[in-house]
Formats: sequence, structure tokens, C-alpha cells
Amino acid sequence: MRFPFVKAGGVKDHILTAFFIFFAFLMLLTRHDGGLQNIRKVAITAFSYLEEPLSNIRVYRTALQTNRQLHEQNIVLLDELSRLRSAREQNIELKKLLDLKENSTYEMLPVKIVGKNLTGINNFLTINAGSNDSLKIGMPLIHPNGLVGRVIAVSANYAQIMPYLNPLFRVSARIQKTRAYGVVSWETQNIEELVMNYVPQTIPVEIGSIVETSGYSHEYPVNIPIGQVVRTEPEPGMQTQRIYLIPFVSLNEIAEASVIKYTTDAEIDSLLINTMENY
Amino acid sequence: MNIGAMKYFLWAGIALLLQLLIFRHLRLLGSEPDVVLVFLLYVMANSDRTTSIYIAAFTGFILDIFLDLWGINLIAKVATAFLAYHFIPKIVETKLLVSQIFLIILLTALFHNLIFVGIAFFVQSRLDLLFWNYLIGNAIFTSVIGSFTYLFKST
Repeated sequence: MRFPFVKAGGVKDHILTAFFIFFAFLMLLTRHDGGLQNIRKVAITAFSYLEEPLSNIRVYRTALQTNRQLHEQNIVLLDELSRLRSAREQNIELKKLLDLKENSTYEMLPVKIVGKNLTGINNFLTINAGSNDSLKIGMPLIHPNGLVGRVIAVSANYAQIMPYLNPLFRVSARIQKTRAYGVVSWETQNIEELVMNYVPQTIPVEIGSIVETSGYSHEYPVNIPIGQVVRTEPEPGMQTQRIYLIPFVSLNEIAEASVIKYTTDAEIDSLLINTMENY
Repeated sequence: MNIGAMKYFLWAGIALLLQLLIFRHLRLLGSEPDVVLVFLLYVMANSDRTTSIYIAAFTGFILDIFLDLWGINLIAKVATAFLAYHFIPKIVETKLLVSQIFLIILLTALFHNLIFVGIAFFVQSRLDLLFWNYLIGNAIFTSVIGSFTYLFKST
């Protein structure tokens, strides 16, 4: 296939090429002149008409890409937000622990709860302090909100805690307003309630009263909050009543606590043993 | 101008539209294919040199207008058509393998891009373009597109 006017042979190609290249260089040199700019304007107008339908596809493609980027960014930000929230909660807890330490008359050791076994009846916690930190069996573990439990086993760097949600747990307690004494324990039926026994029926107990440690068992210091009274029931066939309370500390939520380096007085212990042997 | 030549110009228009509207936006690692060059190679393989030069000048000029390059495409395409014409095997004479087509397009595209980049740097009209991306990347991308087109056309 040939154009009718290019039958002159190979020389024509050289001339044509030279002409077009010359023309191209001329365009390059005069590209900022008005004439070419007008052509450019016309081209842009025509081109924009052609590109308009395709621009929607590009917008959609860009939107998809933006959506993906935002999704990724959202995940990163959510993760960061979660970590910040956790840090804030931890900060609040640590501040409370610090206040508790400053206000307490006993020596306290802040600990982190590294293990929780709250799946059944025999619930236990594990803390990251042990005999190397002078921890001993029987020391109470408390949270700024109240009592958590007591140390029942100690290794070099860890200790196991029996929390209040354990059927073997007992603590001598009293109702703040009436000074009525009793023993608080967990009866395994309800994981949200503790029971205070041995309080005479003659003592009126208000709902909402605060129950705290009495200090009479010599295992816990006095005035550690335990929980709040929610209801009372008379003990069938006895002159005492059962006082149900909701503990102040949620075992599922705590992450930090403090061990009170409190041990029973050896003299009181020996006196008790002698009394029990003699009578 | 005969009907055959008009057909080439018509196809050149379609190739230009495809290049300007679609392939120009198919960027991969800063490289884009040049379907106009592939079409020019097709013309070179099927027609005489004069026709190829005319088609090269037409497509180059239109591209320059639309892409604000003013002469760079025109020089690159006309020079490619003029100088590479004798090295392009004629399709009517030989049945080429895809790998051969790929190599031919690659070498021609490299030659074309070298002229393009050289002039662009000389006149400083496209200092933003990435040298290796344009020279190598575009050539490979163009070769891939050209080879696929050849495969499609063969089947």
C-alpha cells in the first residue's frame, strides 16, 4: 500500500523525515507561542469531552483505593486507641494504688496479676511477687476498691492468691454503721455475691451498708472494704441472719493490686493455741 | 489518498484514542505502555516506509498536542519509523514466534524511548519523568502489550 504522491522512491523518505523533524524542532522552539497554545486549548477541550465518561471509572478506582487505605488506617488507629484506653485504665489503677500506699499504715507491695483461674469453684490468682519480695503465706491482697484475697502459696518470684470467690475463703468482717460482726464467705451459688453469717437477727442491717474487715481474726488489717449489702435473709431455725453483699472488687477486671505485708502477731497466735489446748 | 491508507489513519486514530484514554493511565511502577508504537510497528511490518513515516508523523503530532510535548513524540516516532524500518521483518513474508515479536518490539521501543528521553532531557520539557522507568519500563510494558496483541490477532 502506497500513497499516490510518494512514488519517487527512497529519497522521498529522507526528505519527509527531514521535514517532519524540522517541523518538530520548530514546534519545540515555538511551543510557548500563542498559535500553538490555541491548538492546545482546543485539544484540551476535545480531550476533556472524551475523558469525561472515563473519569468516573478513575474516581471509582481512586475511591476504592482510598477506602482500602482508610480501612487500614482505621485498623491501626483502633489498635492505638485500644492501647491508649488500656494505658489510661492502668494509669488510673496505678494512681489509686499509689494513693493507697501513701495512706496506709502498713508496708505495701504493688504487684501485677499475671494469672487468673476464675473458671470454677477453686478460683486462684497468681501475682508477680514471691519470697524474694518478702511475701509470706497469709498476707492479704488488696485493691484500692477493697479486699481481693490472701496469699496461700509462695515461690521465689510468684505467689498464689486465694480470692474471695473461693469456698475456703473466710474473713472476719463488720458492718460499718452498726458494728455488727460476722464472717464473710462465698457459697459458690452466685459468683456476684458473698455472704456474711453469724450476725444476730436483732441487729437491723440497712441495704447499701458497707462491710469491711474487722481485724479480729488477726489475718487481715482492720477497715479494708469488702462489699456492699444488697439484701438480708433470716437464717432458718437460728437467731442469726444471712447478709448478702456485692464485693467492691471485680476479680475479672483487676490487673494490679497490692500485697499488705501484714502478718499475725505471734504472741496472739500462741495465746490462742494455749487457750484452745487448755479449754 | 487510497482506501488502504485511510484505513491505516483510521486505525491510527483508534490507537491514539486507546493510548490517550486508557493505556496512558495503566501505570505500573511509573511505566506505561505505548500502543501507538505497537501500531506503528504493525504498519512498518505491513506497509512501505513512506506510509510508516506518515503514520508516525500523524500519531506523534497528535500525541504531542494532547500531551503538551510539542515535537518530542513526533521526532521519536518519525525517527523510529525511518531508521528501524529495514530491521522490522515483514509479516507477509515470515510467521514470527511470540518471543521474536516480543524482542522486536522491545528493541524498537528501547530505541524509540532513547530518542524520546534524550530530546526530553535536551529541551527540559519532561524533567519529572523517571529515566529508567521510561526507557526500560515503558519498553517492557509496550512489548508485553504488543506480544499479547499479536497472540490475540494470530488466534
